[in-house]
Amino acid sequence: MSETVISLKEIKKSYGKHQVLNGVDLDINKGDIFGLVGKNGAGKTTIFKIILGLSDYQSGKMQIGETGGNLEEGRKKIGFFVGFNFFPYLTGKENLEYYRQLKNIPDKGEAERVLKIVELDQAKSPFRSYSMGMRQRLGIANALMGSPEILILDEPTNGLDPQGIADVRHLVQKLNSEYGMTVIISSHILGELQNTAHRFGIVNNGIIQRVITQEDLKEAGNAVRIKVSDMERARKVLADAGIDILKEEQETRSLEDYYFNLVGGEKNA
Amino acid sequence: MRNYVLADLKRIIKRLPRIIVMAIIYAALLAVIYAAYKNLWTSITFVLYVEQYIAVLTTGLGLVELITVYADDFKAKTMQVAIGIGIPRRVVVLCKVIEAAVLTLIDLLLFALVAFAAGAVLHAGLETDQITEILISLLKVWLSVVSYVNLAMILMFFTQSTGPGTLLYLALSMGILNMLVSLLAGIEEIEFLHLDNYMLTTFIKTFTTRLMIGNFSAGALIGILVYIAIGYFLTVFLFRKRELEF
Repeated sequence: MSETVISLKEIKKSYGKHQVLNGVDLDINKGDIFGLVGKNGAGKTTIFKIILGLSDYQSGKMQIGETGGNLEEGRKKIGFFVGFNFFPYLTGKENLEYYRQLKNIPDKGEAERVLKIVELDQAKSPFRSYSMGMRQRLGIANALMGSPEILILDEPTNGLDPQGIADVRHLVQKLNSEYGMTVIISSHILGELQNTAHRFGIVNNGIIQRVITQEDLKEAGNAVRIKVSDMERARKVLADAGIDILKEEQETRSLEDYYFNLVGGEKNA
Repeated sequence: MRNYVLADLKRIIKRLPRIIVMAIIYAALLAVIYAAYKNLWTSITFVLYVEQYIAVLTTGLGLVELITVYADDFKAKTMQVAIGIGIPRRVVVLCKVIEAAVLTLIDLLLFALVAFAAGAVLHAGLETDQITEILISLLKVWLSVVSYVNLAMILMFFTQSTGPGTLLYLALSMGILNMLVSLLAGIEEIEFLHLDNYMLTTFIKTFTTRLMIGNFSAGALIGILVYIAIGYFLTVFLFRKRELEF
């Protein structure tokens, strides 16, 4: 049985009368790449905020690592990129140096190391002059400082071009496979998330409506795709006519299809 | 906590706009001393002119600290990262209190250094009592800035912006709030409470005036510390469950 590194039980949170989380149950296992999926306002960001201590919750239980309920201690294991928390007048490297000291990382080469991992080579200009892609990379670099056990990435591919998106995917997979980092990642690009994560939590109406795996996606895709309008008739007709079917390809449902089938809505909405 | 304070201090001290503003403050001090030198150059004139300048220092210096310690942080939302990596909120607030106190102290020590160096170069002939008087005036500025910033911090942390806190700081440092409380204290029904005696400015004035004549007023110091503690604990109380944006 996998070791649980983050556990949320029956977490409830409301803003006044507006209930945002209705009893979230979520277990993140060590070594997971866990994709958090949900539309805007579903509660993904609130879940991240609660894990990071930026938002309070009314009831429920949370545990991070084996710290006996000491959440502040548990949070020391987490690296995260949830927004651009940088001083605009400092260079990328100076910003990372600031956080290196804040995080009490003794290795003075740490900023250089993480900049290399995210392949950001123009870290000597002020943060305010950075493109969206550079900001994303710097944000991820900051999350990697100190090699945390758990990595939280909120929409890390926002504003990235296809190459940037692919780079983030490879980076996340590398961090997981080579460094053993547990990754929780949210993204609106479901197709991309499907290629990255091992498990997916579908957030809807303030709960984790379902947790599924890559295997579930394959099993759910039980349709057979043939290029005819009526398959049974086609088989019959083909058999009657003595024509062999050379290829019947089993279709895997996409995470996107699974998601919209479960929570409703349309892909292009 | 030490790392957080050091990281912030390193960043703030190197901040160019801050260096420029502080250079202007010190240049203005030299101009004031030069004006005294051109007027009637005695140690008394030196002290008189420098003291007059120190009197307006609380407002100016406090604003510099509010902007450099708090405004940049609220804007960049870096304290969210500190909280996210497990630094308790009460420690985050304490770090900010320490940073403001340390930076103000450094600024005032440099101020004293510039003033006394200029006095020595121009042969002001300061006596020990006069040096002590200037140092105690600077201590008064330090206590005022630290305690006013601490009170302004309540609003800043609660609103996550420096605007309302800055207004409160200005009201405190320019004596507007003091004046209002004095007016209230004069109302017949509550006159017997002698509210004037419990005001922060009264405590600071009493403490520094007593020091000037060689007495240490523990009561006044406790009064100042109580105000600082109120600022800190109220900030922590209001900030502890405050929702923070990414």
